[in-house]
Amino acid sequence: MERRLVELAMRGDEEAFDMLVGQLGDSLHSVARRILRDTTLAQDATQQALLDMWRNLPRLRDPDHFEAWAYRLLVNACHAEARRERRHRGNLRLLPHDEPMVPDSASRIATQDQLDQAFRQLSVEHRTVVVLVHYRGMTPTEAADAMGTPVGTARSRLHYALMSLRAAIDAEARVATKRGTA
Amino acid sequence: MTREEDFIDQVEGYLDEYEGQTPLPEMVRDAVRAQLPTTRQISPLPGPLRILDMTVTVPPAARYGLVAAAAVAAVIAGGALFGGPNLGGGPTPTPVPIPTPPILSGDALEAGTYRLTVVGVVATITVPPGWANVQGIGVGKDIPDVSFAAVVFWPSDAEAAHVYSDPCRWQDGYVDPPVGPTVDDLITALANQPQRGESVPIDVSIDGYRGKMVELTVPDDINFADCDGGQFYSWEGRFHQAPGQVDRIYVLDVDGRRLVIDAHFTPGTSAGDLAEQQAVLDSIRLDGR
Repeated sequence: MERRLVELAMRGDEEAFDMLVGQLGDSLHSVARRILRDTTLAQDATQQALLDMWRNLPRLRDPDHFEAWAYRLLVNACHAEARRERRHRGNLRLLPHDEPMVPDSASRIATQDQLDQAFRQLSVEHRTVVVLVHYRGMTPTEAADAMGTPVGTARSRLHYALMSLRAAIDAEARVATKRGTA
Repeated sequence: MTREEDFIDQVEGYLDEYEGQTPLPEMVRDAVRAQLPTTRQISPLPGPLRILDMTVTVPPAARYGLVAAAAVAAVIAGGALFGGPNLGGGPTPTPVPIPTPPILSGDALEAGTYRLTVVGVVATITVPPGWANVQGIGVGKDIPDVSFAAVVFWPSDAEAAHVYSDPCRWQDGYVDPPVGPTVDDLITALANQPQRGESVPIDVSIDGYRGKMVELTVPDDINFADCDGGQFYSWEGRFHQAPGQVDRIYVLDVDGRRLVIDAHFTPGTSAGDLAEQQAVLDSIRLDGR
């Protein structure tokens, strides 16, 4: 992220901020999409996070930390959207299930379907840490910073989230084995 | 490539591919552009520059608290393990009809008894107020910024048997020769893992089922970032959350099935929470038939 653009945006330069959105927007939206698993919610969360960034930029103390700070605002916005959605639809709402976008072998699709089902059943907090670490490539410490939690909490969430995903893959493998031996 | 790396590859492949390309829609960018002129930026904070800190460190006071808590924990553990009713050589397992409490699910739990099934063993577990479900396979008490204590039933014996030869350099692979099928085989492999303290396995029994327990610690001074993949693993799927974390691994023979129960706590866990954890352990009832 170009420091000069951040400094200009901090002083109210809308064009500079728009260029920052151009550089970071796709990545922020991709993360939101994976955390929330819902197109509309992800768009709302990303838009809210971008406006929060604009509003609060003058208080960013170190322009070099803009990106980490941006992800923190995005995670907050995602969690707020998830809470709002739960209030509207109740806690037991199932997330919508989109069709996979990439064609692949049957077994890979089956595994990814199992993973997808398990991923949707995770809490939004657990999905967040998985996405930040295994999609964005953050360290657990960076993910904890983005989530505003102690690093131990982030590690704990990551551990149990991965455990659930592993169980989904193992279940799919058992089904595939049974199919193969039937 | 180990099975753990293969699994992580599958998760990352899923995250990369399943959603496909997800660029920021132009209409969102347009909406943000449209709102900038009417969205007032807040004024800067006065005072000297403060750089956002990306690292999380344990304040000295908290570390002293950890030492104190660990000392208290050792006393409690000693009482429970050496003076309590669950010492090894317990009675022969007596089949007891297990009632049908609710299945462990949801997030926060009301105090009470819950049921879960792992490796073909049905277990019931009774939790005090303030404990939460841990992915349907255990219960935990999380006090943000302070501590985390849990009792977790490991869902796969095959995973637990994949003990890494080095928990920090886990990408080097599993112990060789591989872990055998008995309780002793697994507990010995865990007890011999380097960097895990000096715990000697002891005989235990839970609900009349005999087994062994070994206490494994995570080094106080370890930096997880220095380990393979930034994680410190005991066995496949089991990585740890904090330096100084203590895991009491119970391995039981439940009607011919090897059951692993991981009672763990992070530094800073209070004596009260450790006592609650012990009470949760003592409440376990098992049926492997």
